[in-house]
Amino acid sequence: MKFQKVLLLLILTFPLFSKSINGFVRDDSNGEPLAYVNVFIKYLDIGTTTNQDGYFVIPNIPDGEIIIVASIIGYRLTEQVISIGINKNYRIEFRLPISSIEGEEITVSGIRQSFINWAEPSRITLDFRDIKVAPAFVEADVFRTLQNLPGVQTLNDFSSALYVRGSTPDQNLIMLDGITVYNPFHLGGVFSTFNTDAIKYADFHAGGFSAKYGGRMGSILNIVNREGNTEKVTGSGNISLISSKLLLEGPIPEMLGLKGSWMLAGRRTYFDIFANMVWRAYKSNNESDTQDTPNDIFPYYFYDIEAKVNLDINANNRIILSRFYGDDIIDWEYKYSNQYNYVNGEYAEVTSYENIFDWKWGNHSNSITWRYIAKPDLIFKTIFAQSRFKFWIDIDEYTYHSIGDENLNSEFKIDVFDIVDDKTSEINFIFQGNKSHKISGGLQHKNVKFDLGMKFHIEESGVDTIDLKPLDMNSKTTETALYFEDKWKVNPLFTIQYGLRSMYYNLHNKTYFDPRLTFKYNFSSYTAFKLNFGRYHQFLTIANPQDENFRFIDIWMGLREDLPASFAEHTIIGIDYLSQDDVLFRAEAYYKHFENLVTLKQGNPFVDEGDLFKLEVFNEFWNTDAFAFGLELLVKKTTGKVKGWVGYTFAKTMKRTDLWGWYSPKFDRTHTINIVSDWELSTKTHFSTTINLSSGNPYTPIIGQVIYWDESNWNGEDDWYENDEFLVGEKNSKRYPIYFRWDIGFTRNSTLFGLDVEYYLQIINVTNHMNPLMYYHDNKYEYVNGEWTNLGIARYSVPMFPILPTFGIRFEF
Amino acid sequence: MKIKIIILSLFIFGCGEWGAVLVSSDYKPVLNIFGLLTQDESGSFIIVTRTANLDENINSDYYDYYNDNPANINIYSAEVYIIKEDNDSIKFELTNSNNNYYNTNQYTNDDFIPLPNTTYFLSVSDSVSGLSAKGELTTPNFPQLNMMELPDTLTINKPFTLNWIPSQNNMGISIYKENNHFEEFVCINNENRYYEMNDSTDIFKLELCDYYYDTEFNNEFISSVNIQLREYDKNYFDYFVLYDEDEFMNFLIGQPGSTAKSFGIEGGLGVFGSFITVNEFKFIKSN
Repeated sequence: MKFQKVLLLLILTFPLFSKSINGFVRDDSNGEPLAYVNVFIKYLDIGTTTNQDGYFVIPNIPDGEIIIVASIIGYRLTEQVISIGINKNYRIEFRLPISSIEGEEITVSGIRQSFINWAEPSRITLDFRDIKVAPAFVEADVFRTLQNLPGVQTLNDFSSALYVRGSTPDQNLIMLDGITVYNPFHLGGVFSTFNTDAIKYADFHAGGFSAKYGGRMGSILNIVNREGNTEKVTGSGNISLISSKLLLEGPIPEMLGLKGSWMLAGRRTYFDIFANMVWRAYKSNNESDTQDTPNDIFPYYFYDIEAKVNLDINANNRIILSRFYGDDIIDWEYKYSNQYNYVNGEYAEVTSYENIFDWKWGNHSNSITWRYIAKPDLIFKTIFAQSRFKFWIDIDEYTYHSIGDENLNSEFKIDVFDIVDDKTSEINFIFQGNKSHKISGGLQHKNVKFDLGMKFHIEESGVDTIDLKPLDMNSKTTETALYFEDKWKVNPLFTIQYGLRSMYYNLHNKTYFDPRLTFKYNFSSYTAFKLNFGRYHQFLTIANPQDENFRFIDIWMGLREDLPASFAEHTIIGIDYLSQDDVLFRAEAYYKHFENLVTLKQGNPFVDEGDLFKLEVFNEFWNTDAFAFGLELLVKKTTGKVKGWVGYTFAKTMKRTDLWGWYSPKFDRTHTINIVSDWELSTKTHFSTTINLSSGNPYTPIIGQVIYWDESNWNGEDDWYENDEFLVGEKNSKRYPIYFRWDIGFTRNSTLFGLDVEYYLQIINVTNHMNPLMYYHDNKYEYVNGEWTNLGIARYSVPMFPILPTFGIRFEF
Repeated sequence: MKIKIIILSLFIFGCGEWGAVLVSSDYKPVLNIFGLLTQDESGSFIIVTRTANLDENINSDYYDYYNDNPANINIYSAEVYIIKEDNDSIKFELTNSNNNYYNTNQYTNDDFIPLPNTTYFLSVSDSVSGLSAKGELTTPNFPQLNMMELPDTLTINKPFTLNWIPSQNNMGISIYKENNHFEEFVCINNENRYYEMNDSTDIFKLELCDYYYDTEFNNEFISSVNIQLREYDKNYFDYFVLYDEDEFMNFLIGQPGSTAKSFGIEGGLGVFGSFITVNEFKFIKSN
């Protein structure tokens, strides 16, 4: 009720001007809305830019005949003549044909419009072409591309997680079509969960994001999927070394005045199918040697399915249904039996074992969005979404034991699970009735259930059944957020964007306020200065050890009652220069201050409690202070025969706990240079390359050797025994050598069986540079003069990616 | 030409460190001590070793026998004193210097019996290495089991409650079969639990080791268990129980390693700890 009053007040506060033109701009070939299209009235200094839905509204239109123009690089400039008369609002639709110049590749760029319109700093949009520019490990990946942007750091080659300006991946809000995705990775982070073929664009905010977004301290990544072809059914596919992908899209047949489009995309790895096929063939030919071996030798695969339906009820109402399912699955079963005690010509004792290992983890999300154009200058978006992350390990062991006529069976079951169930309802509005103000606001209500647990079930014939639950942590959190924001164009050169986000968190029974403020000053049409400040609260955390090299899953939990709310404050200053030929030069400096971070205590996971042991590993934290600062430079070229970007990052992140004092976290890389480029060698052939050069990640060095004592008490007898171990120095006080990786890729367009196909070859780490993932230490021995000689303690590197060639084929139909 | 130079330099740069690299550090060793003061059968002892630099070999793995000259980190020449609150000092002598693998350098004093709830100081100095360290602890009190509420005979699979007088120290309770010889064919699962200070009660249930024995021994039997209550001082509990795990646990994180753990030791590493134990015997029967 309160919200409705505020909304009404906002609407009434601003005068409604007389006449306006509004509508959508779409790609003529497939009906996809086009964002950042410049829409203006010819001969008049009146215009605007389409938003990410392709929608535009131009208020204060004079009477008479006007020519309205839509323009974006890569599409043919299109004009429409309209007579403005007695009507108040005029709805038009532009369908822009792709510009086709013989022998030249089409490049679409809305970079100038976004340069003009965006007030907030640190924002960049990558469309599907950008994402596919960079050579990637096995296949294109949006996270891998983002890792090449300034301000984004990576832990190692095996992880596609994003470490943004001192923030860890759990501080990033990752969304698919506006729906939170909690664990957006496959294969422990090697691949992101988003199918690049389905992506329309990725909107990335490295910091300083507006009041619309909240609940996370670090960055925002909103992946927006394609809407689907409104003209005809089309499709595309991709076959790579590990997976195949298929995308289908098409129009919904018009009926009852409804029209729309749909998109369906799927991906599945298939290495398991081939490996198991070969293994079973081998097994059938070698039965005697493989009698007690599992049927499947490679029981792992992942898949994801994305579906989207857009339904236009009428000119002002659209319903969007979106669904995403992505899972990693390890399903392994192993049966074998032993027969022994050969008595009187018969086997008297038989023991059969059945082991089942079922591990499944992934995200499922469903959403329904209603977009309502209440007035040309007032748009509402209502979203109901459910996002569920589920991780479940189920280990079962059955033993069937028979001695003569007596049967003794036993069951041993372990279940380990982490379930995050997020139900979100939100309503947002954008009001553009005033030339100087763009007002937006909204209300978001988020119910999240966290359930983290471990269960044991032990059952034996003739013995009591034992059920243990050593880990049982669950909570229900509620976040209710209300936000308001105004982008106020004070004059043609100066813009202020101010906003406030208030958040109520039920476990604290408290409301928090996050102010956001941005100043933008255009020195000229090509140069913009930006200054930003914002506070960002977060009410959930992950309970993973901070020093992991590999992370299979994020273990999420709501921030407990007794832990204060974590927050970060971003201060950003930057300057953007967009040259006449649309080359973007960006320089930004930031300072980020964190309060009340929590860091999981590593070690000492078990605590005795009563007759059960209890796992405390996910529930004990160090209070952590942190800050980060840095300087980022970006040069991005989006048109021409050579496209791509060069980024440089200077970054410093420091954390402090009572145990360790101040230290650099494991992801901290002081200097990073990333070069991503795509060279159009001919209309059919492209060469792409990515070069990453950075300071090494920090690690904790060994400095000496020590023995330590362990105790043993068995039947009342004490014993203490010695172990030797390395003494470690200050946490993360040394760094690995400079990280260097050079990836290259070639693509060649052709036709095959009447299909447009693209062959690609990519070589990761073409110089086979050794980038150590970690060190391990041991004595080094050499055989000298007939005897083994200990040369001392040596360091051995565990490498990240070595040289890795991959290839594949994409096709369209 | 420029591109060729760039590509060439990228390949030259693209080497990195493959293979083993010998490492060293400028770490200065310190004394590493395990000192225990107790009235238990094990007796009080002080083990004195030192930490080692990276270029010394203290490795005890199976490759060790290749090494002709392992670094000797055991200290045999230390002056070890236990000092009471009244500054009365008791010298501990090296009592076992043979080549047994464990505890080759225990310093002991057979006449010394620590008193409960008393502060003791440790002084260790070694003139050969020039290293020294000090320590301090306060011995715990005798734990007291409340026997009134405990039945004379405990029954297998039947829960019973143990109550004890709460303490300002951590407690440990072990219940084990007093005589666990194989020929007796009765095996009781050992119970080993730790408690926070001020805890004072817990429920136990004695169980046979597994169903083989259960099926073999349907007949009644009588045996006995020992209930061992142990009160720990903070140093001992922290070293052996609370911070027993490495900070670096496994391959997901990195190679296991230890920070300089020191509990009750000043100027060196290790632990100077204490515990006091009481034992109560109880008969058990099968049903």
